[in-house]
Amino acid sequence: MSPDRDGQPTGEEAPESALLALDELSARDAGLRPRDGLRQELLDLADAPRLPLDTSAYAWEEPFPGIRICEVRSDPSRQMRGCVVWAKPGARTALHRHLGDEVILVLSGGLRDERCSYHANQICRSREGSVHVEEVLPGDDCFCYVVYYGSHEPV
Amino acid sequence: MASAQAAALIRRLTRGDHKALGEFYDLYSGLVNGLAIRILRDRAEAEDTVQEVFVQVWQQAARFDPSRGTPEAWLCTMARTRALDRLRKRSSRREEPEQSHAGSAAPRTEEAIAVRKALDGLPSDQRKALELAYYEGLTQSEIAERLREPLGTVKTRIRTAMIRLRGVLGPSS
Repeated sequence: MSPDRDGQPTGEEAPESALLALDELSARDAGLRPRDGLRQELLDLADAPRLPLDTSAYAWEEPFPGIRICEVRSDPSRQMRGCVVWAKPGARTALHRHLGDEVILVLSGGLRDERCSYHANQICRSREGSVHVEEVLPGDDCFCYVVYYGSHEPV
Repeated sequence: MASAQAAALIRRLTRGDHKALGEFYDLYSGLVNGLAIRILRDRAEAEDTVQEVFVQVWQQAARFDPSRGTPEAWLCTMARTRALDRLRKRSSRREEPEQSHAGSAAPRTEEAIAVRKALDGLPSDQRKALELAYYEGLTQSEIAERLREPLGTVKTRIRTAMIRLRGVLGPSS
């Protein structure tokens, strides 16, 4: 994914000063609040481990070949489970339906589903009722932090 | 006052203070969401962008350098970068947003109203060039091609627009 635009002018882009000034202008607008519930989801995602991961510190299960998962947080009152996932390049889940929302924060590597691909520090959200397969991109191992709000079932 | 509060929160974030993350979100989620909606015109994608930005804040709070700008501008830069990435991905999939939202919510503060007035007061050609650069991430060459204008003309319009807006931003700009 594109790095932060820290402001290295390339000559082709609008002047850095113009873009930064517009950032300042945008900053003065109070904007529109997101939906309720996003705040708690953010706090749930903040439990994601920092890299590098010590893979020996987790009690892994392997629900699909090449995909290991370890639950590290839970809040049964909200049906919330936070899980660390370690997946090998090319590994795939089976087709499944989500019975609650799933939010994947990619920590390193990448994965894709029917919609698009997701890389480090990007979020892949699957809504309740959605059906998909996730596949790890070729190259490096993929580490994710996944927050489930409900379970899922095979299709 | 908001900046002092934000600076204190950022210091707490660097120490891994979860509560500070919630407070920082309360302070700035509207700002980030509003900008993301204006670029993406899709509330769901905008909210994913909001989460990505605040996760990045959580992970990289120690990198914030107050000498380079305000916390607000730092957030807007991150939000715009991520929103534009999503916009380009969507364009390559040739998808249209599920909801059409022009991001035309009325600004909520006196200062924001003044800023909006200043932007609206720009000649339409200058405002259009600025909007294409800022909200669609186009380079000046791409803007020139889109508007079918010479590159030099586009550069002049953006430069002139910023000179006109300088009065709104104040002497620090």
